[in-house]
Amino acid sequence: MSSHLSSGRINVGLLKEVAKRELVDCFAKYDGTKTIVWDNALMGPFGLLAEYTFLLQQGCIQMIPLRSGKLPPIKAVNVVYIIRPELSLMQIIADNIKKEDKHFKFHILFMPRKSFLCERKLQELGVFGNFTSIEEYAVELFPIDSDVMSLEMNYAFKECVVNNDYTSLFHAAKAIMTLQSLFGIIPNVYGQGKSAKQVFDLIVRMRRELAGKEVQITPQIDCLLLLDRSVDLLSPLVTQLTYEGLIDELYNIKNNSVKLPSEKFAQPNEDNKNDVCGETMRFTLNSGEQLYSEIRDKNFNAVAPVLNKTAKQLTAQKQELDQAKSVGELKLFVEKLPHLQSVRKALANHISIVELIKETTDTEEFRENLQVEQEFLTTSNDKIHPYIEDCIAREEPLNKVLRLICIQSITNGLKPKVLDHYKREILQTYGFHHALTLYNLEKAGLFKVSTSFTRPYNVLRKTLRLTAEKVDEKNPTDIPYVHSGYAPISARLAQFLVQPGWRAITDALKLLPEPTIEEIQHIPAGLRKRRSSGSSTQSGIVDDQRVFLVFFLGGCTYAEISALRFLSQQEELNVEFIIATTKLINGNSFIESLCEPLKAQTIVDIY
Amino acid sequence: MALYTGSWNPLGNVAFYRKFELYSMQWKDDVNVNLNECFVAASSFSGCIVRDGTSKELSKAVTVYFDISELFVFYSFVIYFLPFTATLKKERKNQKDLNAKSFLSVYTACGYLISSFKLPFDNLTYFGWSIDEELICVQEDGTVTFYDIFLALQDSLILHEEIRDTRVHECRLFHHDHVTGIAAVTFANKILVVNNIKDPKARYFPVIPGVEPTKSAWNVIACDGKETQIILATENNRLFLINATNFIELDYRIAKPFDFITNISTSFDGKKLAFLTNTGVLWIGFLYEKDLKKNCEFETKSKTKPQFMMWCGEDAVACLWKNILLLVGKEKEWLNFVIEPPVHLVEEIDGIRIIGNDVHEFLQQVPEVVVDVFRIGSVSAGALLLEASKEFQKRTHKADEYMKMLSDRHEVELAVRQCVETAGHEYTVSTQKMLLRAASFGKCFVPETDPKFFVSMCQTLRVLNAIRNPNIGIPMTYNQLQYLSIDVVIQKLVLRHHYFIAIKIAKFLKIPEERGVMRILSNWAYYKVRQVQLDDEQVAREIAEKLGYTTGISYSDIACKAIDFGRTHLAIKLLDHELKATQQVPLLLKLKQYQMAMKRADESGDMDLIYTCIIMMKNILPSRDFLMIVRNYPVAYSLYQKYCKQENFEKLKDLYNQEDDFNAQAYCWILESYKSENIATRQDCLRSAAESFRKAKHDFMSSETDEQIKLLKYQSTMEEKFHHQKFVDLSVHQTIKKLLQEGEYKLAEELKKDRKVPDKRFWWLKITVLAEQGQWLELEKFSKVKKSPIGYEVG
Repeated sequence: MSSHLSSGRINVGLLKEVAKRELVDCFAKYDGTKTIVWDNALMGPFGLLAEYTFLLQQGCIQMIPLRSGKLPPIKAVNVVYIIRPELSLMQIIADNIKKEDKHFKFHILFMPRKSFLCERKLQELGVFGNFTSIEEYAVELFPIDSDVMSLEMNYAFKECVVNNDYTSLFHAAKAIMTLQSLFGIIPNVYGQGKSAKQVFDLIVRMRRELAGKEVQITPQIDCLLLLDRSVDLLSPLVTQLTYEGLIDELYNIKNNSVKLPSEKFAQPNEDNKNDVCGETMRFTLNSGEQLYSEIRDKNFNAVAPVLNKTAKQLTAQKQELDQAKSVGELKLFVEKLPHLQSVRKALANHISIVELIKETTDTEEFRENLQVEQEFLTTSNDKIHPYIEDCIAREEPLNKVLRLICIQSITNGLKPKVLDHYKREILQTYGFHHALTLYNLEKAGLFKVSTSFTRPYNVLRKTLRLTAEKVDEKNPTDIPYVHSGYAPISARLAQFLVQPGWRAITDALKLLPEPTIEEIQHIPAGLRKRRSSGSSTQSGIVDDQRVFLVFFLGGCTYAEISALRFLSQQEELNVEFIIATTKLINGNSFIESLCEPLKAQTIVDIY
Repeated sequence: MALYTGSWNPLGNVAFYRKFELYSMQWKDDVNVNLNECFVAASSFSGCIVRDGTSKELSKAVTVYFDISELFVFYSFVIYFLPFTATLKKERKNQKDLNAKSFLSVYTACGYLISSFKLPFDNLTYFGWSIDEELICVQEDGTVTFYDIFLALQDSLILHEEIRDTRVHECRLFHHDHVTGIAAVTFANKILVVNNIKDPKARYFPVIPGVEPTKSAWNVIACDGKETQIILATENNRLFLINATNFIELDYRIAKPFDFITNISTSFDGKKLAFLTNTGVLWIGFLYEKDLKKNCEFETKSKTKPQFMMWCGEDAVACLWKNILLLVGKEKEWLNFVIEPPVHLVEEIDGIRIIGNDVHEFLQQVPEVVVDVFRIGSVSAGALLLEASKEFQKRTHKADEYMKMLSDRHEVELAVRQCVETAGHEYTVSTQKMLLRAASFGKCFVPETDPKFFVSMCQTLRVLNAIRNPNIGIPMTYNQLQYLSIDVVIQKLVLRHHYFIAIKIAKFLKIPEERGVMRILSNWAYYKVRQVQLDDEQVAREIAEKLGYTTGISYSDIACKAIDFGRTHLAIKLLDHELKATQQVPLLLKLKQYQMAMKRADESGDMDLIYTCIIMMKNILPSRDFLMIVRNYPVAYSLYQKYCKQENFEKLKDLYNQEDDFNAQAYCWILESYKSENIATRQDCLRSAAESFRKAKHDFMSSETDEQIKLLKYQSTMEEKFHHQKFVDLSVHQTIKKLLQEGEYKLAEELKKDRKVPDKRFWWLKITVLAEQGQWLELEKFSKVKKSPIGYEVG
């Protein structure tokens, strides 16, 4: 069922198994049937760990979302709240419990961690004593795909840069410790940015706490690269132009699945009826589907030819059937049928998705937006940009406007006057209640007043070869294809780290948020990897291929993942990248996570 | 061969018993020690000895003499010195007098004095050893005090409130399931049982009408996993079996006439029983379900009560009268040993230890395998192998003949096993070596056998020999070790403060760290902490040096102990070395080390810990001190702000005010403005915000805020003007739009000018609105006013 997790060099599926085992242990403590009350934010990610049927096996007979007010009729003996440790949720739980007149055994399962604050809050609300148990389900990492893991912390970046709340970094460090316990100590650690340093210090600390009681495994991961999102604020903002990236930009991929308007798709047959709800249809997107794994990382413009080719292959195979004469041939063919059918279905779906996306990408707005982005990326312009003004005047979504301003600010810097103009325009058009949002963006370094004449971006652009004039989207030779001309700084940093090493770009690193980390974690000599013998038995894998774990602190985009996957495929680099992130993001969700629009109370008294 | 069987004495036809010296007692030259003048309590499994010594002018001393070796103290010696019936009271009185000035001393099994002190109370009724080798002293009023072997007070408890008045008449300890219990008979003729002294719940056993336990002989039947029972023989020959809720009378018959039973003994497994009557008849049998089954009756021909009566192993009962030790088997076979009195006997699972003024001896049935190997004329496999090995060393061809015989019988493997086992049961090192050498020789002929047994026996013997050394003084047998497990041995060493050898053993046997070295070291640290006279700094340093950072020992646990002993300063010092912040910080808070706690929490990067510190400190410290600390830690400070933002908004504004962070304060006011339902309040809040922005010299935001206030005012007036229309909370842009939609072009124009809305945006807006509404005339009019900055492209 989760075979798509186990196909990589590192068996990400292990994470899922560990998580499941722990869940069984947690549930074993509750005697009898269970009703689970879900924190809405956890419900989706939880599906990445344990399937519905698995929960049924554990005696969970009822699942209800967390809502204030009275609980719906409870069928089980135990009521288990699976929630994040957030104060606001405590209020809701207390409300539930106070309004419940029947007696149940109430439990809280905090995920990923118990919190002193929350327990205190429950005490203040006078319901602490109602709980038979308050435990934690300490699972940090959610396996997304065979090479991607996520902490699923939506506000990690904002909490760090705006509120100085480093909870996410603590969990990131814990997650790395978990990975190290499964795959061995990672001997080399590199990093850039404040968060990277903090996480590394935490790992060192946590290892010390273990006091030599670490699992003795030969390291399977050779290198850890910690990247503070602040190091590369630009990449999430630029529109992603890979297939997967575009699906995410336009329709938001959530926990490996996306909801698309259903009218575009063929009427579903019996087996995926559940996925249809009203106007939209749910699609699962992961490497389990061969076709998708082939096209997800391609530039959108290169997808159609692949689909075309696949269609042709299908037809060819169908012709084989027509030509099949002997019973033996027929039998062979029939065996292939289920596979062919699933390919056919996938093909049909992807053709529809491509059509759907094309509707947007063909619009003038989309093109113009791209053009402006490219302009900021390649030329210097610190003037008020008319396109941004127009967008504001047309009251286009605030996200889009903010994205463009941020891109301009990062690439060119904004003079105080220009920035004030933009800000005034936003406050006047979208309303004063966005004041806090603007404040947050400033704090996060996304709205930056340029103070000097040097533009770090220009230097970086040259040293790191961030932009490319001509990009062959169909047969790319370098990573800028993911944004049709712009290479994510993050991916470039990873690439330079592999070859020729960061020493070659010391000057560039100095322009990025400090500090730079280059550390070695010592491991017992007996556990060191022997290069020549090789630990992998899988055929086709070069023995001394190195495994790099890139950990994005503050989120990463699908385009960045695609770029790293592209690099993994380059033979001369001889490297396999594994990606961990606090959350999978895109420009919109990134900006949204920083927004704090204030909501006015209804005015009761009008003079 | 005679060498090895010289000490063997046959009991009946098959069994042999041997008595050999364990130690020559160190106290033999000490004039103060005379077992005749002492009360002795020894713990089984080879332990320490206690004596209750006295000052010289007293004719008698009470000495308690312990054998600390192991888990089981089967009975108390005090009891055995006391006659059973009418004379008891008088005796007790004497004893009290004695106790008033008596000393209690603890000795090792080879007679080294460990500790000694003057009894702090004068009504000691009974003392004995618990399974964890704690000395238990029961006073007449039911107070029970616990001491460790160094006689440091550990704990105390009251058996039962009622006993204060009724008084304890007689008392016995018993052991089961690795816990120790107390059974007591009170002067009120009630039987009280505490099943576990660590979790004392006293319960009275049912009273049998017409039976006076004070005038009866009784004993406790306790074994693992079964409920505790009392067996009681009354003065008029009735026998009862009593448990917590019920009692039954047992039917039994002794052929020879007698008046009453004087002694009852139960075997180690609680199944076998022995009675002795006042006429000297020894009855041996067992309890099968609720019935007594007889093995034999033996006429001892002694009318006096023996000093000791107990089981020796599973197959014989021993009775001691002065210098005669009588051993009676189940088939009426018997054997006499002459002993130099006075002695004290200690029951073990596989024999009896005899503690005398000069020597400490062990009496046991010779294990079967040993008999097989060493018996004169034995042709068992082990015996042949031993012979072969000897001949081999003499380099004679006979070795080959013996080996040939063995391999013909296919018994080489068995022979090796027998030799190894026999080595285990031997006490003399040279004999052990001889046997192991034979086994090693034999092993060469069966190369495919698993050497594990041989290897582990070599290791075990090394450990046994080490702890049998007089300096340690634990004369444990192989059987006892098997029964107790090596963990218990280590525990015993730790109790005796033999940390070094304990660690050596743990490392030698490769016992997992947490069960071995770590446990020993933390116990050592606890011991260090307990020594209140030592300097805090020095103790902390010593502990840190020894434990380091890699052993995984919890400094917090040690610090907790230090707190228990009131050594706060030491605890703080120790916590310095704790690596786990989650354990360290709460303790530091408990110790009121707020600065340090905050620092550690901050370093840990664990937000929950930081919050814990913040909340605890906020509630305890004056707000000024609290802020002083928190302000030093930027992360903590911002978390506190976040907390205030959610929980206590006023506090947050105060905070910013104190900090002169006007910018943040201004945003606070804005937030608050949006929380209000009243428009006047909202404007007030915004005014404060603008004021704060001005203080922060944030011109842009201050003027924007002012504008917003004006806008709100304007919007209110508009709402009055256009009833049923909502203006408040629209942006400037949307307000203009609304005015345009209402056809208020002039007002819109005014607002545009007032707000300096750029032409471009205004044009966009107006054209769009007019086009949407189909106001073509107006659009034409508008187009003539000024050239459009955006053109008129049809979208």
